[in-house]
Amino acid sequence: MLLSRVAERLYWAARYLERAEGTARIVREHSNVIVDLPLSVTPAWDHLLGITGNREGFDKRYDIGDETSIVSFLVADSLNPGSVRMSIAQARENLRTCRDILPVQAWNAVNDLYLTAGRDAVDGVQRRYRSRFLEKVIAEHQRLLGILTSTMSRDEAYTMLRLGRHIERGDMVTRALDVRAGLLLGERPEQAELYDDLQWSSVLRSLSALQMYNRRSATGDGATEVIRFILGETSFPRSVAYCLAGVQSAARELPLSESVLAACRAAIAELSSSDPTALLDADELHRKADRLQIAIGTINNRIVGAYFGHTAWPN
Amino acid sequence: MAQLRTLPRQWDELVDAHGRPRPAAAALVERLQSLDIAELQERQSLAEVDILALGITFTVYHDGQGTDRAWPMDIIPRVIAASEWAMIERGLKQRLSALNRFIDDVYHERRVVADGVFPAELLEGSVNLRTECVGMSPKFGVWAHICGSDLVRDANGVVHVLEDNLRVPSGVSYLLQNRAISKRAFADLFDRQSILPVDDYPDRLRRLLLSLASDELHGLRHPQIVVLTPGVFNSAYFEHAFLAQQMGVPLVEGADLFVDPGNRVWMRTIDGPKPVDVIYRRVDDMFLDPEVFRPDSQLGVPGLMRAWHAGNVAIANAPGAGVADDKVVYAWVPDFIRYYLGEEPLLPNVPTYRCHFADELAYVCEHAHELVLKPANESGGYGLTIGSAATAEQLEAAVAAIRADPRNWVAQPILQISTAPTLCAGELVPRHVDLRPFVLSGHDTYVTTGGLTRVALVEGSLVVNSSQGGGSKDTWIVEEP
Repeated sequence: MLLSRVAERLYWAARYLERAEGTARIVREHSNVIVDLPLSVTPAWDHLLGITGNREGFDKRYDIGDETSIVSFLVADSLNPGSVRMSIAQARENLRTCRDILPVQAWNAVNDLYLTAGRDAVDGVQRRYRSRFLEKVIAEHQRLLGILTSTMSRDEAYTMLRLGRHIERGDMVTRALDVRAGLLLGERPEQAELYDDLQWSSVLRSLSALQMYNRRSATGDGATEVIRFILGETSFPRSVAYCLAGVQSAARELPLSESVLAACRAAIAELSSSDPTALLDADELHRKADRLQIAIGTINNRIVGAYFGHTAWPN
Repeated sequence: MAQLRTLPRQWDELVDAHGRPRPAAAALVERLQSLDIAELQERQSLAEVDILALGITFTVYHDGQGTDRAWPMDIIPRVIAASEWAMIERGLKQRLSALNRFIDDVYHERRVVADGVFPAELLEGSVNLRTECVGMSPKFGVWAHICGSDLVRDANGVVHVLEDNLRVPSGVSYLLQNRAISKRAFADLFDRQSILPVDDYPDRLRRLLLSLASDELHGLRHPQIVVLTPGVFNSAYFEHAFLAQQMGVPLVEGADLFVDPGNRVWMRTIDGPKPVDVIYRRVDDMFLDPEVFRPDSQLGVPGLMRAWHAGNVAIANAPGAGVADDKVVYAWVPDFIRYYLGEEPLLPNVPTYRCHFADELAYVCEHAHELVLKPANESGGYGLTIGSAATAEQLEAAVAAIRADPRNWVAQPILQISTAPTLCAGELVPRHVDLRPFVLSGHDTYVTTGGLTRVALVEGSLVVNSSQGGGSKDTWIVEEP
C-alpha cells in the first residue's frame, strides 16, 4: 500500500536527485574537456543550457553567457530550480515527509547531501574547487543509492524511486546526445564519419560513458557506434534504452500501470525505429531526440495521471 | 571523580539529604562516582552524535519559522524503584478510568452535574466541550485512549499529578529514543541490574488501535489503521512519523483521506481508494473536519465527523475528549475518582485554587506572588506566570487577566519539585525534573514503564518544556535487589 501523495514525493525526489547528479556530471566533464582545448579555441559553455533544458531561465537572469555565469546558474543558483543545489534542496523537501518510509540512514544521506550542497555550491563554481565539489555531490548521491539498494524493501515506494530516477536519466541523456552530437555533426557534417577521437570521446565522457564504451563487446566504430551505444546499448545503465527498460520493469511492478506500460512500449519502439547511420545527419538526430523527449514526457504524464491524481478524487 | 550535589530542603531523585544513594539508584550512583567528569562528558558527546545520526529532532517555532533541532537529552538517567512505580501505575489507571467515565458522562446524562459534583456553568464555559459529540458512545466507553499525565515530586518525596494531557499528548517517541541512547551510554549497568524495558509501547498502541475498529469488520478484513498528522510543520512531526513507522501503518495527512457519500473513510493510494477503519489523529479537534469545526482547516478531512457518527471509523483520541483536559476540570479529578469509582485517589493532585469561586479568587489575587497562575487551556508551559519570578507589572497583568475571566484560571502553590543530577557545563548539578508517563486505555489499561523525564536545564528554573529550553532524561524503573 502506498499513498498517492507519498508516491508523488518519492518520484519527484528521485527525479531531482538524478537531475542533480546528471548536471554535476555534465558540468564536471565539460570543465575537464575545456582545459585540454588549445588556447586559440574559445570554449563554448552555452550549449550546457541546452542539455539541462533551462536556457530561458538563464536568459532572463543573466546578461552574458560566460563560464562563470553559466556554471553558477547550473550549480549554485538558488533561483534556478534546476541547479544542482536547488534540485537537492527540493529532493530533500519531498523526502522530509517520507521519513517513515525511508531507511533512517537514507534520510541521513539525503541530509548530508543537502548540507554539502548548501555549504559548498557557491565556492564550487570556481574552477579550482569545482571538480571536488561536483565529485562530492556525485559520490554522496551514489552513497544514497547504495543505502537504498542494500537496505530498502523492494516495495512500491522503492519502485517509485526507480521510476523517477530512470525517467530523469533517460530524459537527460537524450537531450545531452542531441546537443553534444548535434554540435559535432552540425559543424563538420562531411567529416562526421571520420572518427575524431577527442571530440567524440568528449561526448561519451560528458555522459560518463567513455570507459564502458571502450570496453564494449560490439565491434562497430566511429560516430554511428557512439550514437548507437548511447541510445541503444541495453547493458549500459546510462543509455536511453537501459533507462526505458528500467522504467518499464518498474511500471510492471505497480498496480494500474497499463497506460504507463503502453507509453513505455511506444518509447522503446521509437528508440529502435531508425537506422543509426541515418542519425549522422544533425537534423535527423535532432528530430529523433525530439520524438524521444515527447515519448518520455508521455510516460511521465501517464505516471502522474495513474498515480498522483489524488486531488481529482473522489469523482 | 564525579560528585553529586543536592539542594537544601529539596528532594533529589538519586541521593538522599545526606548524599547517600537511594536504594534503587545505588548501582548508578556508584558508577557515576567511579567515572571522572571528562569521561561522562565524553559519553554525553557520543550520545549527542547518536541523536544527530538517528535524526531525533523536534521543531521549534520562532517568528513563524520552524527549525529542526536535535533532541536535547542528558545522559544521566533518573531512577525510580519498581515498588514505587507499581503504586504510581495503579494511581494512573485509576485516574484514567475516572476521567473516561467523566467524559462519557458529560456527553450523556451528565449525572456528575445533576448530583452536584461538578458545576454546570463550568461545563458550559469549557472551550473543549464539543456539543457535536453529545450522545456518542465510543467502544469500551473510552474517549481518551492515549493520555500523557505530568507528574512532579515535592520536597517531601510525594508524587503529585500536575496535569493530564488528553488531546494530542506527545513525547512518547522521545521516551523510547532516550532508552536507545542510554543503553549505549551506560551499557554496563543494564547487565548488572534489572532495568525494566520500555520498548513494547508501539506494539501496545497498535493493539489498542486495532481493538477500536468496528466489530462489524470482524472476519471481513484486517482493520486499516492510519496516523493522521497535521504535517511536516508540526513540532511533533518526528514523533508522528516515528510511531507510524514503528507500528507499520501509513502516516497520512488530511488530503490523503476522503469521506464518501456513504460516510466511509478512504485513503488515496496508487492502487485507488482503500478503506480506513481507525485513525490515530495528532490533529486538534478544531481542525479535524472543516464541515463541523473550523471551516478554514486544511489539515482535516471533510466529513470525518459524519463517518465517526455513523460508526464507520474510530478516532483516537475521540473528538471531544479534551473536555477533561482543562486545568479547571483537573481540580475536580479527585472528586471524580470518589464519585465514579467510590475509591480514594491513589495519586494526589497539586492543591489547586479555582478562580471560579469568589473566595478562592480573592485568595489568588492576594497571594499571586507566591503562586503559579495557569490559564485553563494552554499547554507547553505557555501563558503561565510563576509569581515569585514575575515582575510587578507581569503579576498585575496576570491578575487583571484572571479577574476578567476567572473561570479559565487556576492557581497552585509553587512546588519545590524534585531534582536529579544533570551534566551541565562540565559539572554534575541538581536540576528540576518532572515525569510524563503515557496511559493507553481501551478494553484494559496500560501504563508505560516509567515515562519521559523532562529536565529544566537552567539553574533554578522549573520550566521543563522542550519548546522552552528544557531537556530530557531516560527514566529507569529499577527492581531493587
